[in-house]
Amino acid sequence: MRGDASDRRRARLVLLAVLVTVALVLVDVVGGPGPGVLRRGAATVLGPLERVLAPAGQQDREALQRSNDRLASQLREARLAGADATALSALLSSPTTAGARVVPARVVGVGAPGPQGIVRITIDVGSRDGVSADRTVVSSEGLVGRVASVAPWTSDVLVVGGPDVVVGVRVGATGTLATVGGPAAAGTEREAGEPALSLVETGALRVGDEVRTLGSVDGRPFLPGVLVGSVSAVEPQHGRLAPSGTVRPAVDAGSLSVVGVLLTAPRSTPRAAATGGAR
Amino acid sequence: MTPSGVALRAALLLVGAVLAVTLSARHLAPLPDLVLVVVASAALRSGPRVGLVAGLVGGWLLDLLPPGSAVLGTQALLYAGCGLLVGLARRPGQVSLVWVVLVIAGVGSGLEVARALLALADGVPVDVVSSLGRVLATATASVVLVPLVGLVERHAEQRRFA
Repeated sequence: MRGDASDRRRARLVLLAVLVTVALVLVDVVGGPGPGVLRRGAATVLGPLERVLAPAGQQDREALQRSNDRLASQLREARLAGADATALSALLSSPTTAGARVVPARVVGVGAPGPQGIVRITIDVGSRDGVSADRTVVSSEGLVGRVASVAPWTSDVLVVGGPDVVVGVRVGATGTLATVGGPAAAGTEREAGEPALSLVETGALRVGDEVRTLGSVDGRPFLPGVLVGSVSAVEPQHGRLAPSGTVRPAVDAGSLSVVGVLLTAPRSTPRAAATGGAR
Repeated sequence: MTPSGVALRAALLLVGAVLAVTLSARHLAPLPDLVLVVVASAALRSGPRVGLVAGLVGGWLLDLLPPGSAVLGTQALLYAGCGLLVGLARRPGQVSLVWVVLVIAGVGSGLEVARALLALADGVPVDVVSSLGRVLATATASVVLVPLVGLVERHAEQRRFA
């Protein structure tokens, strides 16, 4: 009898756990506050664990160089660290980061695996490194994504091509306005990791056109002029006002190791007005 | 199930989840789904309810380990479903390893299909080849890991009663 009662109590507890999980899913879907607190708490507690288990490497070039010297006898480790140094050097010398304050970071975690590819990553810098939410994250090749949430030592980044990243962009030499990401136009065929591209008005769209960020107010979440990728396919308009297509991202999320978080200060001085026709 | 057995399963789930997140950052692919292997081991040994609870815990770890899931709780529900299904497929007595591998491959395929449907609902294209690779890697890893996990659990319980 006691066994039966204990069994029923356990069954009720399991049912309760499932119901709580379902409730949290619903709260997160509608954008409620609870899941955000849970995420931050988990990132604070578990983030340092991921940093410890992250691929070998150092946070700055000098430290990385020292690491390279120390590991010279261990060929594989040295190769890995050398690759990081090269990636960091490439990042700091790329046009994407020219003139910008950059916090270098390493990718220490990738979201739960799935057929959708890589849509969320964790980097080993956080609020204590000056990183805050809605910062642009880049690699030497171009745009990686935006910072979604920040813990003291780690940050979560939403990667371009994921469902939660929509970027305002300019396409080609003419700078036609468009959006990258979000739902694709009906009938658009895409490869995994290739976000949809939709022009906001009638304009020309050609395969190979460069796609760069339009920029946001105060550079958050996206700074202007960062390379997103190139147009990989153009869909027939089929009665739609504006053409659409797909973008091949400049950055391969599957091989990311070193990235940079761009820090920009908000504009603090008013912009001076100019007089038209003055020479 | 003894407290030490519960603690051991929780530790195995944590190790599986942390490895899943950090090994992906090392660009190793295809990686076996270690959480699914631990959940399946628990379900095959102790039945559907334990499988469901192990899946819930393992899924929650994947949901919460940075960068976590897009929607908190989805992995928990998916893995709980997997644990439940594997538990229902449990056969009494000794079972062949081939049966275990087939069950895990089947449930792993179901998990990938469910994830693909969620991704498609979000408007994200899916990569079928990577999914197949992951299912094969998980099934292959289970050949070694399921008996190993069972052995470790039995050892932990024998020490408890020794």
